[in-house]
Amino acid sequence: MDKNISQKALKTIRDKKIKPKSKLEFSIKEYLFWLVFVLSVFIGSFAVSIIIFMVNRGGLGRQSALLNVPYFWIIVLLIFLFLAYFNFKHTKRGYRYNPYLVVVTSVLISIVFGFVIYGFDQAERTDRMLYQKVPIYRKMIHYESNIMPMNEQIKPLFERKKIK
Amino acid sequence: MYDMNMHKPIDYQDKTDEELIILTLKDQNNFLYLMKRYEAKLLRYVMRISNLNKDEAEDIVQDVFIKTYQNINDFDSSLKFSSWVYRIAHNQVISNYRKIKVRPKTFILNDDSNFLENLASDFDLDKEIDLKYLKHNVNNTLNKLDTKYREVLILRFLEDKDYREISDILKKPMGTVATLINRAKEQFKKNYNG
Repeated sequence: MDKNISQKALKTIRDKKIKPKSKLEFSIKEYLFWLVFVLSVFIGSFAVSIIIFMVNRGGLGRQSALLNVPYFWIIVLLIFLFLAYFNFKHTKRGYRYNPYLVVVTSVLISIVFGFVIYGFDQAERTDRMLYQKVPIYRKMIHYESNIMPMNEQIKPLFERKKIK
Repeated sequence: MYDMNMHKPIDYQDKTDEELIILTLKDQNNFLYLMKRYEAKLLRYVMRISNLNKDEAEDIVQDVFIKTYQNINDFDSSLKFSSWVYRIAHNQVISNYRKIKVRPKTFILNDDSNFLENLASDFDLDKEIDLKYLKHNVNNTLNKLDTKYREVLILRFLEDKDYREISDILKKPMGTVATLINRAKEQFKKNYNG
């Protein structure tokens, strides 16, 4: 009976006119995994840069330290770290690497690029842009207006209204 | 089959798997030579890891060959073709479990006295034990193992795959494979002696 498996399979391939999927289809899938991995690390780096910016602005030693912990960005960082790991693992040879090594490497890359982005003042700019243009971000981020040195141009946005 | 340029019959026995893949992409009939090379091995492997009967296992192997043909352009030449086709078989067995929602409960050792000897020497079991007694106990012990442990033992000791090949088949890092094999051995020894 088992002598016929190959013939049966070939007959099915012929009868159903099964064709091999194109190389392009597999290449696109592979590139997509890499693209999402790179994007995830990139967004993770932005999250790190904004975390650095917020911590620097707020100062962790103050009484309101807990309020200054950028939970939102920490969650964003964790989500994109997971996405980076998931996509890397699904690349052709991603499974060969130790998962811890992949996560630690992604974290290190995010931290290094996070400092670079922060160094180029892009963290503050991104935070400001999101605050101005994304209402939900405004609601989610807790701003302590009295503890941060701020650009005069955006200062009114952050100031609390005085009750007369 | 004849090579039109050379007017000499092509000897498919001498072709590597990778060469047969290239020939398959030119003419699907050449896929038959590749399938023939693996049908007995895959049938044995599927039966070992799934505990399906021969007819059901043959259906699975047939599906494995069709999937292999469909995805032949996805073959990564850094792998052995055998690892890739075993991986497809492993995935097909898992997808079959999901379809019928039954995990294999028992494992039947048929003709594998080599396996018993390998296992006995590797696990430091008493080699003087009667083979029949050993076979019965190995069956019982394997049946008690978790599926993931049973499969690595089957790949290592029955299919004679090295760590790299097992890593490529199961899509796990080599370190994880080594850990799985060690734990499988420990669980096997514990169950065997207990």
